[in-house]
Amino acid sequence: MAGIKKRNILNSMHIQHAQDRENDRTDTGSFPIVRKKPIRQIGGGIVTRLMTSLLIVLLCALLGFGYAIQLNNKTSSYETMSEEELTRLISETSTQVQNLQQRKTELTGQLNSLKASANKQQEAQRIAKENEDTSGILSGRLPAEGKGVIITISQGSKERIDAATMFQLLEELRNAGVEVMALDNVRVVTSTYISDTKKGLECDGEALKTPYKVKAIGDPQNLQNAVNIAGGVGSRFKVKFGADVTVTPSESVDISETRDVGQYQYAKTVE
Amino acid sequence: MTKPERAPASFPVEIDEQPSKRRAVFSKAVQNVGSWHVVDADDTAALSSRHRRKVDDDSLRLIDDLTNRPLDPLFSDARLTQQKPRSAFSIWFTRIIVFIICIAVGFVGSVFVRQLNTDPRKQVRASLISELEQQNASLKKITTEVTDLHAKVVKQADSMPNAGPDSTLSQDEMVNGTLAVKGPGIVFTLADPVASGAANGATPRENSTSHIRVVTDADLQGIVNLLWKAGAEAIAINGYRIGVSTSVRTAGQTILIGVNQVTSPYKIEAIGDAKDLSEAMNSKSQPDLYRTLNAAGINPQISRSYSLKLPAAETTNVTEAKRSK
Repeated sequence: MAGIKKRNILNSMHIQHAQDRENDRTDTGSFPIVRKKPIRQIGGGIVTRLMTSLLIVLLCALLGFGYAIQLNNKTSSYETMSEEELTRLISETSTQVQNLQQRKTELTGQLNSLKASANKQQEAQRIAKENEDTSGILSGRLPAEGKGVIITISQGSKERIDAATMFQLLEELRNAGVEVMALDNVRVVTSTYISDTKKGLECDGEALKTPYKVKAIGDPQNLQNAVNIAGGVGSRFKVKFGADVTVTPSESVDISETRDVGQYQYAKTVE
Repeated sequence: MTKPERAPASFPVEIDEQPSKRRAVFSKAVQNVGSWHVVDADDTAALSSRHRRKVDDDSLRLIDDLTNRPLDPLFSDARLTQQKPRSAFSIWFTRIIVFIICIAVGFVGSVFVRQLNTDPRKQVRASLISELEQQNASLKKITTEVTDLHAKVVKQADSMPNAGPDSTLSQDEMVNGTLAVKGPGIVFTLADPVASGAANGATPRENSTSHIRVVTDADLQGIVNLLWKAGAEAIAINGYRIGVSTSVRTAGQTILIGVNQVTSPYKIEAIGDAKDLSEAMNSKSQPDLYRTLNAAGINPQISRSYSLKLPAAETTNVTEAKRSK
């Protein structure tokens, strides 16, 4: 009894459900059915997909390559310089070329006179002495005099002048074509260094006293410009350290400071 | 499920109701399409005779519209007219026209951008650069000539009887850096940081976001200064020897050694006692230097070498200075 009844209820529920579904149908056939667009396939499946990935990989590789090239770009960067800087560099280079030209003429003269001179022995000695003088003046072995400037730098009123700026001054003067230099009582040579100590500046191991005095032989105009140029080392002394910088051109700067030229221990000449 | 293919797409439109042409929003006929209400003559009479305020309520009208006219006339128009399939020719013609317009716009755009980016002084600079390069070439040429001549003169002088090699001269020249030298020493290398700061994980990116600090001429000057102090006998940067009149400086963004350009990585070779030099230059002896450099992502490296070979510096001419007694 109970079983039959149960089945009847189930059966009628099924029937009811089927009817409901039929009644609830929305596709009446009156409206056009719009289906979801199928995913568009480009070309033919797997091969296309593989080619696309390959192309992407290739493009990525190219991008990386280009970036690496750009990163390691070591070529000349004159392009980035301004006209002013270029002009300055050109004039500096041409000055150097002129100097070398002069030196070349000098050396050619020496060589010719060595070859042609009747008294070769004497001539050779003369030339050797000439060369020795030149190199001795440069190396600090001999005292020198000539046209140049005297630079006086007072003690900084804001803070103490540091070694880096003082070294920068020497570099600027070298760049301006200085031939002989002395800082206070120390002859400045190739290997001159400046260091900070607790008491003040030290140059090649000797303490410097304020006001610092730099004697320099070279073209006075060039040397003056090197210090006084806008934004140069002279204004750095003034602005950062509050020091007074005076550059006095002189017809005769006398640099009597010399130093012994020792034998180098480690560096050997290359034949 | 019924098969939708079998059922008609929609009820066919009767012939007399078939619209003759499509209306569009921008056509003149659009005014005719607005909602309209048919009012019977009887109703009008009744309304006017009722002596009551005529209710013209928007919300009522909306309900009326929704129930009686649910479909927008424009929409029904669009649905009902047969759209003529466009011919392949017209499709391709349009595509080509659009393509040409795109190209033209792109071209004109790039022309404009180029116009905006032109540097009026570029030619001047280019001519200056070529002049500079010419100067450099002649400088190089004359330098080798002078070096050759010098060697010849010295050789000639030395070959004279009772005149051996001049030791004072060669010592002087060694000090001035005008002789090529070799010997043991150290190589101090420092390079500009990689832009991303990825070269070393410890680099704080915050410091390098606005602009990246690179190695400057002041850094190189400082290192050269320190090396001289540590007892170096000869120094060269990227193969350019530091001579008595060689300066380290910048021109624009380029670092120059004398008149020669150098770029990162900077390789500073110094001849001297390798042990002393490397001890004087390591991070223990120069904590300040290393701190500032490391903060910028620059990591100096020191390597000792048994045999460094440094070229000669350019010869300097002495014109102003005379030997004094």
